Amino acid sequence: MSVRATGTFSGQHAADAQRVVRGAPYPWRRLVVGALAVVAIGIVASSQGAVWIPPLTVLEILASRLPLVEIAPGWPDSSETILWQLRLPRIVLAGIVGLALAFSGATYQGLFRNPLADPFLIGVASGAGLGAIIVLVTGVPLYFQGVSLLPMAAFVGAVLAVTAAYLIARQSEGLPLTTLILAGVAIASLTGAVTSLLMLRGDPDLRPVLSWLLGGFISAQWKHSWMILPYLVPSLLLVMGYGRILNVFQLDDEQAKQLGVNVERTKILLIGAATMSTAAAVSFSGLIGFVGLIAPHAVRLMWGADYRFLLPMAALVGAGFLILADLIARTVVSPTELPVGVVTAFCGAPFFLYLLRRRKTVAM
Amino acid sequence: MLTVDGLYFAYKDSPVLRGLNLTAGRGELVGLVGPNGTGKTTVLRLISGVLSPSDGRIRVDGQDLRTFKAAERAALISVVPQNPTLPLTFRVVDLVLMGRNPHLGLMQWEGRRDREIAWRAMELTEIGHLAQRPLGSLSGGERQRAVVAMALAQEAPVMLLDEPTASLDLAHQIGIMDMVRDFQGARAGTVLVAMHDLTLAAQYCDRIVMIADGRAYADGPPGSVLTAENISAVYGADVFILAHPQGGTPVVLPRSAGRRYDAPGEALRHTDADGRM
Repeated sequence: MSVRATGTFSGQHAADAQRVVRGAPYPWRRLVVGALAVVAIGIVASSQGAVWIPPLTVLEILASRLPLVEIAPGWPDSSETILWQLRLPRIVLAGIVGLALAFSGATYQGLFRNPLADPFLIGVASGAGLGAIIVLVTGVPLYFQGVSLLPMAAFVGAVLAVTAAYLIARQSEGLPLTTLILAGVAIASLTGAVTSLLMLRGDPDLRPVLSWLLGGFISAQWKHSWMILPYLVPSLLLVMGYGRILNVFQLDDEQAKQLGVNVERTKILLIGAATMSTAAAVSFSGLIGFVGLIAPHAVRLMWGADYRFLLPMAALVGAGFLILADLIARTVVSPTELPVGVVTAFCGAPFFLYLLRRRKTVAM
Repeated sequence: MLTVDGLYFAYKDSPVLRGLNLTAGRGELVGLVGPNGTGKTTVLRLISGVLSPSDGRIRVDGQDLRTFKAAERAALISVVPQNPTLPLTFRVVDLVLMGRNPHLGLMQWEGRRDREIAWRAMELTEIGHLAQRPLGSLSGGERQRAVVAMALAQEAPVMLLDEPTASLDLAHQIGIMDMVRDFQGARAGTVLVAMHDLTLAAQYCDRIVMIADGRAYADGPPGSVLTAENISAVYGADVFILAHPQGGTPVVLPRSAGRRYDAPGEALRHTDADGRM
């Protein structure tokens, strides 16, 4: 196409044309900076605790674990043990859970076209809670061959609750999303009621369930992170592949269909992906609110709503945020701990309000 | 070439279409008129594949639309809906680029060619200067042009418009209709447009299909379809038909049901009576 510049008006016209035709480059740099920031937060967090390990030493210990790197240990063995056995599993798990919650929240927000959607919207949380309590009160041994059954039951409960909501809401013409939300709310109250009932009538020692319901990383182990990844990574890749389609989805179902989007398949795949990774994440961490709501929303308010960028960036923000929140939870009232959900609400809510005030335009 | 054969459709138990036939040739602008609730929008939604007919066939260039996947259909048929839902934080250029969706694979992003096509669509609709503005900051007329630009960027040979001028003021109504006619003229596109305003429809359409009782009641050039008899039969309204000073197409003027305006003298008498009694 040729756009000739004649006079000032056409000059502006040509500039407009060029700007559209050239397009905006994908903001890779922001993602790289975000990823580096998450790593930096992780390193700072690993240095903090009952025993102070200097961040440089943390880096050295990490580097010494790499193949082909030889560093003479100039640090006490205890530092390495604390770092490797206690702090890093916890920090990595917090990061992975934050990432999973934030990207699932972003997916739900995009799918439901509602910035107030969070990963627990259609019954994941209450389903997981019911699964956990059933294990505790029915007298099934908590551990089976060394593996805790609690997270497994929570995972199964979460997936079943969302599946039930989905089956109820599905109609011959497709899946109306408002019906799905309502079905999710109904299932959530039902499972919540059953959970309360079981807690009242069941085993007197409910501490494992209560601490799970409050959420936290106190018993984090490396294998927890490893067990989340098989659900998280494929889901993340799938949803990111649908980034451009999620943008088109911001019109309505009918327009998306008229633009050639297979609307029903998109809904099923994305709900499945977000549910699997949320369920996997909360099965180990318990219910941690606010991350899945606030991280995508913060990204949207600061950098716009293009899901191709919003999804990965929200995931990074969620990871960094939850590592920080867990750091505060375990250090601020040391030697005891705060539930991490309390910290996410305490930090998250004011920050959220600040963002809303700063950008007064309604962001959908 | 769009061909609709014996189309039947019912919402639940209330039938809307009962054997509708219509055609729209290449380079033809066909208007769809009829009173509220006669199924103009339904026809467009059936053609665009949002609804499925209970019977009948819809073909584009002889090929049955049922054999197409969503993306293939969208590459053939673009739609300008009556009340589009717009993501208000997206920029105009983002919206127009969404029109390229049927031509892109799942993992594929828009390339330079897509952006050139989007720019041309924005130039045609005269919203190039608004390209970087968020949709939320646009006026109603500008938004409507952005939606038309999105449909143009789809580069489909058939374009469906559902009352595109419904909520616009006079100048924007003419603007949109001129744009639609340019598209149909320049690209030999097939346009099917549902319209409320019979005079405007007569002015722009090559042919008009008047729907009543789920069928095409009349089909032909505006002058032969928009007659006082047809309008009285289908709309139940008495009208005067005048000739448009530009081109002589029918101008439809409603006749008041009251006796007040039957003759100037009578109207005056009524006013007098109102004033004095």
